[in-house]
Amino acid sequence: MSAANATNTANTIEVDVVVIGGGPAGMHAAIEASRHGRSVMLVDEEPDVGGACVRRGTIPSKTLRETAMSLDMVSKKSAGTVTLALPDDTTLASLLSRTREVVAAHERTWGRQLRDAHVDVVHGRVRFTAAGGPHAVLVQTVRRETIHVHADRIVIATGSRPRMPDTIHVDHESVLDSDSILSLPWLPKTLIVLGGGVIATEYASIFACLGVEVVCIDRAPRPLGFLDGEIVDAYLKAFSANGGRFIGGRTVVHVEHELGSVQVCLDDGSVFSADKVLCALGRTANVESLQLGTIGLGTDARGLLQVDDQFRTALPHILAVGDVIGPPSLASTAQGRRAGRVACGIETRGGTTSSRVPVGVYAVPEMAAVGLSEREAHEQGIATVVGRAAFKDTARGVIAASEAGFMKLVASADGQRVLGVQVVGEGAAELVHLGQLAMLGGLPPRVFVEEAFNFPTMAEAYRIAALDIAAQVLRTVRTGTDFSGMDDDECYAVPI
Amino acid sequence: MDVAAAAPSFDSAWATNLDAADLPVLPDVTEQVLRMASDPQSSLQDLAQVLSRDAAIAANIMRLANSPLYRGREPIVTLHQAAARLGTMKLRDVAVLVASESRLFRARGFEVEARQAFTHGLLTGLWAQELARRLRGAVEEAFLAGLLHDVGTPLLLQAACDRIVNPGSCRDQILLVVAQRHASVGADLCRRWRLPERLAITLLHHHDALPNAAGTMGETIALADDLADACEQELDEQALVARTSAHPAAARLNLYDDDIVGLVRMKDTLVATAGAVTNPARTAS
Repeated sequence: MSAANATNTANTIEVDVVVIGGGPAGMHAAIEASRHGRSVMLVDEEPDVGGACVRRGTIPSKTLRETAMSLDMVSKKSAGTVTLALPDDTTLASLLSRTREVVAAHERTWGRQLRDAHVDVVHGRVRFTAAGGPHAVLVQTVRRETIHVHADRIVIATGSRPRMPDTIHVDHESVLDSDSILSLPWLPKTLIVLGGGVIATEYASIFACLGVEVVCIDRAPRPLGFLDGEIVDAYLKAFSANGGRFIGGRTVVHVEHELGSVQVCLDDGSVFSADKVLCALGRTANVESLQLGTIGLGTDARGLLQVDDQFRTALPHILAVGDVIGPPSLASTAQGRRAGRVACGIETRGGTTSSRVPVGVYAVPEMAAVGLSEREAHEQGIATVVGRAAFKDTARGVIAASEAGFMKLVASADGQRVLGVQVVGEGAAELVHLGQLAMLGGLPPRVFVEEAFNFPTMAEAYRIAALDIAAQVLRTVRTGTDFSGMDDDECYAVPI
Repeated sequence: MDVAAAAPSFDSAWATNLDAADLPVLPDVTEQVLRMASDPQSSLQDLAQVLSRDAAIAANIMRLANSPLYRGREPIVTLHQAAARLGTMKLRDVAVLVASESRLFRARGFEVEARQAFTHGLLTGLWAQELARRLRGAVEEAFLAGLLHDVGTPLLLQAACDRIVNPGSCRDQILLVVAQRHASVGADLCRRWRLPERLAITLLHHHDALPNAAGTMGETIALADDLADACEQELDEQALVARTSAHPAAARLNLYDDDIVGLVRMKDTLVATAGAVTNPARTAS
């Protein structure tokens, strides 16, 4: 044990806090508790920390996306002078060759941060036992050793895995999920993606960009229902331009293998077939192996752990954070830090969710949002003015061949507060952070006009959107016209 | 094991200078199947037609399609149906398997070992694909790698029969050399057959734990190899779990006891599937 103040009795290690799971939420909970002087043990099933997002999710898919985008950009940035077509026998592994280095670098960084914080990291699988009671966990290592741990506080951050629907058999050979899709030896010629959420949308658009014929099917009429409608329209237009097809409002009745391909039968009687199917119909919490029932802790109907605003479960010394408590998934890091403080007896504020958590969708094109959208503000009865900026009007956007992108900057009706930002186009996930900081700092949109930013950069989009807001506010003041709900042409048609 | 130390007087040069002439070429049908499997323009119907020209391949495909692992509600009666059930990659693998059997497993005096290598390869392939499924690895790649992992063995036995006068008199020494050299000879054969380079690397490393470009596939095959061995020794499930848990590759693949218990439940299905393909008594017409 390297953790400060940890004690090792006859057969049991005593620590202040044990964190179960080494993804973003668990790691930050462990570091935060250690920073407050507690002895902390972090146990993870995998040999290296990082969680599913590092090995099977975020990082590998983003690496594939970068490769796809690079190939696509060669043509766009050379104005069609150079075009690259992948050979028919392209292996998926060759397109992911950088993943191993990216994952290793990430794991090194996280490992170092945990060592610097004196968190004791153990590689093993955790379970509770009735005999041990709710303060004890049993760690079984992959080398068949057993470690008994007793802790004052326990943080569950075991994350999630792809959900397997009862009606679809995911064999990881013909029907794959987001954990196995990147192990395919070859790029399929045709792919059906089931789902309309972030993971489905990302993979559908990435494979379409790589030249795979993709059909995306979901029961919702449109993908990414939580995003601004105009942003989704722009995505669907780009997806369609890459040969992709979205079919909404349909439910999958069954999936079967036929004639060397997979056939997907829908509730309206239509049948689609493809070389492979990606099933991306949500995620489910990793709680089974913990055997929570032995200490009287259960999950809700969705299989999630219920927590209060301090991340405490029904047993208050056991906290839960990250995907095991459900959305928003991207809040894991902030949740982990707060749970780390709660584990040290420090009350925190902010609830389990925050409107200031940004959303990034690494599809082609990239999409991101933070705060309120125009529709959400309207639903909440908040009057807004929306500034727009098309990337084709920014020097950087044209240089980067990202003319199709645009930004919506949502401000209070008086133009004094930034309420939200939505962006579609290359760099959207980075770009949204400027708006996020403006929201956090309570800055008015005009700050983007008054302050100097590097040129040419995509930050120019904020300046254009802020000027648009200023112009609309000025016209409202002069004419008394309510511009909300009008498009640009209608706004400018109103005489000042 | 050090062959030279075990048998200082035994000259193993016969096993160290196998050149292209010693490595058998694939039959025309198999060559064509390999080409078609990676050609997006080829239809499954075309593939089934080519396969029907080789009775041995066709029979094995029918057996596999009707085996416990793949059979559906209705029995498969045509080659086209079988092709549809198994898919392009599995057809390719069976074609390679049959080619290996017909061309390689004929070493006189070593028929038992050669035949054992064939059935053992199939069972290893089946375990490897189940392991890959659980590890979210490449299922199709794992099956072929398991199938061919010991393909160097019959080749070396054939070379021993061709090059050593009275090989029966130094049987143990020959088998020691085969154990030591079969991985690299198998890798050479893969390259000659223009199979994917990752497969050649996997075959080369399936008995060592050296880091290699094929990632954990070598360890997957090493564990599948041991699972197949254990099934051939007719270990029960409990003994199989204990043995698999103790295998060094299990820890390197991050398999916990719970995972191994789940994996071992497949034993009867996989053994029956391998038996259905390799036992002529069950041949489908």
